[in-house]
Amino acid sequence: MTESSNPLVAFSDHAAQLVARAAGSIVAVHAGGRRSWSGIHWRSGIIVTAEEVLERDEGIKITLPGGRLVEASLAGRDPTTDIAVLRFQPDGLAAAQTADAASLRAGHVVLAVGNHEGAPVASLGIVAVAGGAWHSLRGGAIDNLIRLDMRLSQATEGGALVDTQGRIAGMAVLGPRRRVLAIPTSTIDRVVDQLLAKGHVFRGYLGAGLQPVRLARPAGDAPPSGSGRGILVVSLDPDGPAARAGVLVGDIVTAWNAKPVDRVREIMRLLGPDSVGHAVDLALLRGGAPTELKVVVGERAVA
Amino acid sequence: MVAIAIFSTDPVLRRSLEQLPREHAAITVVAVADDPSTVLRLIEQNHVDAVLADAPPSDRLAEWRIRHEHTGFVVLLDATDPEDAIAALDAGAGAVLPRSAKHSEIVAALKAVTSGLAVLPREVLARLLDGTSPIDEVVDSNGAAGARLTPRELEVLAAMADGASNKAIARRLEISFHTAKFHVAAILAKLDADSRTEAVARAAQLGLVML
Repeated sequence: MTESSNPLVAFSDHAAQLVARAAGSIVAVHAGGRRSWSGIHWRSGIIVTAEEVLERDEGIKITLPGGRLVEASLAGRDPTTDIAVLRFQPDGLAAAQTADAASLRAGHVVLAVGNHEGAPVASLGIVAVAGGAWHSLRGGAIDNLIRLDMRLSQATEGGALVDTQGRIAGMAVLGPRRRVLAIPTSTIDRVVDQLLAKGHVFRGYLGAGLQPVRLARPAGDAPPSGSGRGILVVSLDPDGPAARAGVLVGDIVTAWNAKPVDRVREIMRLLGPDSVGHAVDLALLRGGAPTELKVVVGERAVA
Repeated sequence: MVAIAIFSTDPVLRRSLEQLPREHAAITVVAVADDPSTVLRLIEQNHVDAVLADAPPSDRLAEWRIRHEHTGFVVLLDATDPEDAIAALDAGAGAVLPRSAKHSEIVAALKAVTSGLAVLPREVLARLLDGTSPIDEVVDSNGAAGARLTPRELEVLAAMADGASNKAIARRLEISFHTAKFHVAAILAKLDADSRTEAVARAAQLGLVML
């Protein structure tokens, strides 16, 4: 087999081309300490990076492709989707060519491309799971679940997920249990718009500490309807929306707008950006007796 | 010798679990299933002391348990969410372990369930014990348990829940950046979390941060 027809050589050369092309819009992010992470030049003058790793809000610097170090300022951060947005002077640097992550299927070959001290850092892998919309542990709405079968070096976290056509389909991050995930393009676009407009993503706030509990079954009685579980109010912010509406410590929340709830994580989801300012009918058990309260969801204080 | 049947839909985990007898001579694998509907037949056809099941559907687990009350069931779960663990126990599991458990831990659990003993992660046990709320253990800063947060750490946790960076935590609590970073690292360790996001999510489950 001649060199030119060797498919492995062709594959390898193609992968290197894709990395080189994508690397033109990937920067290294320095936010204190010796370590650096990666960021994507998402729109002209706008960098997207992983929120989790951004320890500082000021004194942030980025290394452009080629090695030039420039200052960047924080435009906003959203821990629920692991997205932080920085502003910088692009001076003609090309922004990323993005693609909808919904086109990815399990098994598709993908690359992760980061920047370390101005040079590209690449990882090769496949899409392990390509699923539908999901909610992060913190209740952030993410449009597609993209779990990757690849190793992600520390420096590459916040870098680009690149498809075989060289388009950036998302940001490569480490999720729970250090699993490699991608935050899809459409989610990034939405959060970037919100962060640029308002500096933060709104989150709903009840002002209640909650724990899941099992509902007691009175002796000889029929089992409680639903899952037999509820959410116990263990603490209250005295100035919070729940306390103002009359919720008491010891109340057990069993339904939210008539929909049964039995997990604290469900409440985190329900307190998404759209919840702020809306009245919610909470079904409660108080001293074993069902009762209802209307709570107007507040807005979480911004750090 | 403990004869076990393995059930997992994950081929990688299944292959790993099939290696148990190589490292632990006391275990022998008599059946392996990737489909929960075949497990009952496998238990019936083979002499099975214990079933090692990776996240089995709880209605299936309950059925296996009802038909084979002398068989021990060791259930592996993705994370040790006490709610999921309690649901598995309700369905008849004798032991609940995280999927990341070491082989030696799985073998210990298999031996325990065949002797009629139960094996549980500590946080699940705390939830089950009457009158013992995990929050008391976590909030009480005078005790010796690893998971207890100090009042200062609870303040740091509240700032983390608002999305504060380490720098912002330092500003809010009027402490140095390095002190804030130290507190965050301690909180992550105590809550067994790999990231600030995971720490806040776990703390919310324990009622330690307001939602």
